[in-house]
Amino acid sequence: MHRSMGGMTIDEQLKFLGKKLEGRQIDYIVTDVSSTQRALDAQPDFLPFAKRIFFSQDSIGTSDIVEISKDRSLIRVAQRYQQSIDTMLNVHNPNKVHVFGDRNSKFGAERATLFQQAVA
Amino acid sequence: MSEIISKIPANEAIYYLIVQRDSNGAVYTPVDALRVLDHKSNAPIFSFWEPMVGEGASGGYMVSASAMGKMATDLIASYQQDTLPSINTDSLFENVFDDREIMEYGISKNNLPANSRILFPQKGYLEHHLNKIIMASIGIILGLMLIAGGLYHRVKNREQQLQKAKVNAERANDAKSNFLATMSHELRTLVNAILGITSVLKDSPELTPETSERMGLVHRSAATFTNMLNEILGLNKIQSGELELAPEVFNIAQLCRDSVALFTPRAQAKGLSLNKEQINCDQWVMADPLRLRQIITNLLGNAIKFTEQGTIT
Repeated sequence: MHRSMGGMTIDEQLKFLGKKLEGRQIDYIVTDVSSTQRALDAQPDFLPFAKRIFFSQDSIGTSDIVEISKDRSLIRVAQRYQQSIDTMLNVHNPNKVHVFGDRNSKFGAERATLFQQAVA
Repeated sequence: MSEIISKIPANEAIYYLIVQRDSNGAVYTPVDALRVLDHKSNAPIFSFWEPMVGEGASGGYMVSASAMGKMATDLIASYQQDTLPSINTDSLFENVFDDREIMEYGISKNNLPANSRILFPQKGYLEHHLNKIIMASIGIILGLMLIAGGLYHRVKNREQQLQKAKVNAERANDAKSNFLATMSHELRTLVNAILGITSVLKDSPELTPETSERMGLVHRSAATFTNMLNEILGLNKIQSGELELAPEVFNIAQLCRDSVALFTPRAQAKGLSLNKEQINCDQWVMADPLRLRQIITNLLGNAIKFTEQGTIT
């Protein structure tokens, strides 16, 4: 579980939001990062009547995964690093490219590995 | 990380995968790490996720946050209609660029893919500097107006000075003319008296030949003086534009003959002869006989005066 702004973990943030939104009708929860998606999936009691729409760009796999149901939809998008790198080369035509990633966290290490596979 | 970044030159590029923890164990949010990169970097930063654009990334081909939002909206609409939509994940990718970063790194917009979405669009050079251009133009116009005003003032002053000088010159000329006219009149009055008296005395039988000759000299000198006065007055009239001609029809040959006859004694006295053969026609002309006679007598007088011997024609 990674930390986000404010120094709280995702679990701590969900707990905070649960108290703040208690008693209010929330129809939909939309997220665009995989860590939030995983945290919400682990807490089915968080806003239990809200339908969930997850966009995930996580490091798991290289193929798009689309799961749709009335209560929970997950669109897991595989990154297109090769196309992204090609665009950068066409736009700037750099002499050299430096890739800045993170192998010191599980999430960063997985992403770096996928990137290497994509552009190899 | 900062040291490495700052050494990357502008003709290279940085591709930003998300950083959450650096080699020293420091924890970042993805955006905070990108901001550190952008602050230290001399090279453009490209990435794969739209939220990075606007936080220091120049852009790139990436997952589009706005496309995800639109897809989420479509999903909700489908839920409300109790249907399930079909999803096309291709629509979630897009070329997105930050115009500020593109300009900062001098990246040509011609190099951007044709369907790129530009965030934070900047004004063109002319539009961006329009206020400065307008202010500079106003400054130039005001400056020119000040210069023109100064020049106009100087020209006006010069014109007034010239007008004043002209008036002063005219006054001085009038004073000179008045002085000459007054003085000539007074002198001629006195000389006329001398002429009258000497005219009678020089032929008086009571005078000895020697005295008579001297009286004749006084008379001729007085006559010469009168002529000089008349010439001065005539010149003054010409200069002041007051000379008026009195034209009439007369015989110019006769006028010439009379003039020659008048100067014949003077010429003979100097041993010169006047040739009158050219004055043999009766030609009538319209002119001022008085002024013409003055011209001819002046010519004859000068001719006799400056001719030492021979014939004057």
